[in-house]
Amino acid sequence: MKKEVISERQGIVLIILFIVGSSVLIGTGIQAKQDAWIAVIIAIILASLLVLMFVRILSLYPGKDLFDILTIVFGKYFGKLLSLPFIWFAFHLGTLVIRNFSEFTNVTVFPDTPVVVILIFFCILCIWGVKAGIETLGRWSELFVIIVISLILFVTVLGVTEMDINRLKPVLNNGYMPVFKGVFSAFTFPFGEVVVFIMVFSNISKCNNYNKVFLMGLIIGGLLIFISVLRLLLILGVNDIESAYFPSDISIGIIHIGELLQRMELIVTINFIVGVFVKVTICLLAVCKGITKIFDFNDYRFIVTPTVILMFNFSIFIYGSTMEMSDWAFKIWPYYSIFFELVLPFFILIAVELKNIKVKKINLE
Amino acid sequence: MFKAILVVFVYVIILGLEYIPLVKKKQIGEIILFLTLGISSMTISVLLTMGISLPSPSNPIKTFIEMIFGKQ
Repeated sequence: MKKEVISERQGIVLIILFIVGSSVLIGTGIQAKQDAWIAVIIAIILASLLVLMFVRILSLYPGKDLFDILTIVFGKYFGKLLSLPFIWFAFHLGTLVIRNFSEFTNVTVFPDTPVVVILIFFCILCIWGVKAGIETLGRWSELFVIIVISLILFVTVLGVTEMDINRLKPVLNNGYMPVFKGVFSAFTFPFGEVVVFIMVFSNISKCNNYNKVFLMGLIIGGLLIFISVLRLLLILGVNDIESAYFPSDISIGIIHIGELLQRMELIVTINFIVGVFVKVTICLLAVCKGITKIFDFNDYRFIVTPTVILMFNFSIFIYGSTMEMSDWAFKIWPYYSIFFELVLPFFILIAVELKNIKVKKINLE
Repeated sequence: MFKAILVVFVYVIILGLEYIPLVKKKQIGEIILFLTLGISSMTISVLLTMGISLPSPSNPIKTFIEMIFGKQ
């Protein structure tokens, strides 16, 4: 099987789209009330430390992904056992994102169309995307990231007429605690989810430069999130954001410039669909690679269709309603995902470093 | 019941398209894994179309998290 290689630029672009994915629509760090923008900045700084940890894990074993590293470091059986939680995390994340997408289309875009119809077409697209491989996906994203970034900036500039700086005041009125809660929430969703990439990236053309890929991706993606959160706060104010499931959609619907530029919700929808497609595809790649590595197969492509269908099925019954989804995503998800994003990778890093020291000693002798 | 049969029919077509090349290459391990995943997702689909509500994994996770960190 031919090794798939993506360039650094494509890696950065994939991370940007992954981060922008669903959070540009839902908003993040809203627990910090009107200080959500501060929370996002702090979360970006903390997440860059996290990302450096991922880079360290990957750069010690160039050309290998997380599942290979786990088998090398922990041995054949325990390594495979340890890769199970990561596969579950990627699977669960993909399921939640598909569910987000279906709720969004059901609530705002196509209220009368059955969710399953939309999801079937989306899943066909995902199967195609995953089967084409990360190389094709990288090239595709290189084109679409331009559209996504320019649309986000375009909408923000158009929204200036509706903005009111007083909606950000009073700054830090409720003390530091809500800000920390916001940081925690923004750190786990979307920045910490970058952990999925250490399961996917195994070949970037220059292996020693994961640093640039992850950091640049995180910072540009983070800035886009920051811009969209700030826009939400300035246009809607914190109370409206809290009461809406998809605040971005409303904030852009408000914009009226003359007769021509109005009802521009479609722009958010385009951004969201592009982001969600990349996010789900990357999660699927991680799941398929993980499953095939556990059973020692060379190619992951034959497993794609059943996995996508399984994910699609899960996304239908994982929540009972939109309210449950929103509640779960903001209250439970941070505590649940921090285990996979911070705790497990941290232990793996320690193990990898110990192994590295041991190998060096043997080499010296 | 008719819907369930329809779902099974669609699954047979979709999975069949991918199953045949695997059989031609005689990859036994791949076939077993493929069928396990495919049939389990087909079972879930059939149950969902028959209107049976399945236990969602988010509820046990929620109980577990609330047990550790307290009610959010």
